[in-house]
Amino acid sequence: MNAELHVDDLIPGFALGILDDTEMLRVARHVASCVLCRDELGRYARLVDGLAEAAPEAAPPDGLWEKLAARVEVGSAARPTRRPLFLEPLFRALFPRGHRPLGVWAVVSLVVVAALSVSTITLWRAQGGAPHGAAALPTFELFGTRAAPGGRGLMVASADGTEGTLVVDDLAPLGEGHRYQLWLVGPGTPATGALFTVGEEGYATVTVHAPRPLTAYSAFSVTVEPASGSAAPTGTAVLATRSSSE
Amino acid sequence: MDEAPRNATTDREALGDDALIRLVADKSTPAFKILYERYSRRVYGFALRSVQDPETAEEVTIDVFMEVWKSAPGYLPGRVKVLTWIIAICRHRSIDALRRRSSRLDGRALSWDDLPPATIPSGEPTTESAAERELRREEVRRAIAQLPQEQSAALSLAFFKGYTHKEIAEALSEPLGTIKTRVRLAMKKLKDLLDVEE
Repeated sequence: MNAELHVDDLIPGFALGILDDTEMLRVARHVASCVLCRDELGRYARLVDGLAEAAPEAAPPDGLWEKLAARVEVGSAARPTRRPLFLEPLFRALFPRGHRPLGVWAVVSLVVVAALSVSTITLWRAQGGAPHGAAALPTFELFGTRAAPGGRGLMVASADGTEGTLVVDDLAPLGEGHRYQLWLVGPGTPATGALFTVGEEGYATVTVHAPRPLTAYSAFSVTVEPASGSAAPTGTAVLATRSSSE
Repeated sequence: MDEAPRNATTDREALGDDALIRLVADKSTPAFKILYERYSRRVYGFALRSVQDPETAEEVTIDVFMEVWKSAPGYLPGRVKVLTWIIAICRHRSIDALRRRSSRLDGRALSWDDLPPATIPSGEPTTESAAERELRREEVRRAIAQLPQEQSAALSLAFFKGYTHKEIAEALSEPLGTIKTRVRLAMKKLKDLLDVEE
């Protein structure tokens, strides 16, 4: 890839979450297709983590634990723990500031998800927190089946639900005669959402096209099919999903 | 809340972070308290440095540990260190708190110079991993100390306060391009000095 097209100069600021919207979009779009810059972003993200760990210490005021314990008691009694939406922590991790225009968030959400590995997203997912902007876009997590226990995936739907970005990781590369096929499962025959392969590292980002809004489907699965695809699932299921809002 | 026998609590105090988080995920309050004792100085210290107000730092600290309490079931051992996870939450919460306060831009540099020497946090088992972590922390201190003062100042506003390039430029009364360069060079130098790899 032409080095002039890289976004090296912006990646440190992206990792710190201090770029303006235009710059942020530029980086997000670029790293979606550039392994070199994606890896560089990963290194800077780890640097930010390391800096945070080295920050100064200070003794919290007396009685803070008691306040916290009381809050935990109240919270535990009031409601069950909500499973955080998949993108909430991702957005908070990358862009802690609020007030992003919805359009920017919508575009960045799909692009950023495509740019990052499932592992990275899963890490950030654990950070939790309230949503900003388009963090509430429909998301679906994919889990490896017994045939592919290490497999993982994430699918984010566009605002109207007719398109999505699927990221898969740790799937076995297939021979020339086979491909992975994403199935959109709802009433009637499952529809095809995408036909794809993975690289040697088991990773792929895939654009998903859906005849109906993705939120209208009750489940999703990925199976191994002939290279030309199948009209209905015929092969081994490797991933299955459920809505993150479940 | 569950009440643990004394010897059980002692056992928990010797647990590593991943094991503690698993207990917290199961809603063990004694385990949660040990985690709090282990890392509250880090969390409160970061928050105080960021928001510069003890009362707000206290709120942030509670907010951070509440998030840990709620999100512990989603923590994946081995994917990211517990401390990294907690401090990342703290940084985001601190910046959010600053934004909510909508205070005017404050260009006072948050010095990195007074980073404390390495210590083993209270309540943390003196395991090899803890020692390694403190060694790493010392490396970060030394790397930051090697930055030119103007780079360190710009980076500190970006890192602790979440200021954008433009906001840093306004706060420090410097040209935008100059600030972008300082932040970029500071980050690159730290990455090189600390040999951040995959």
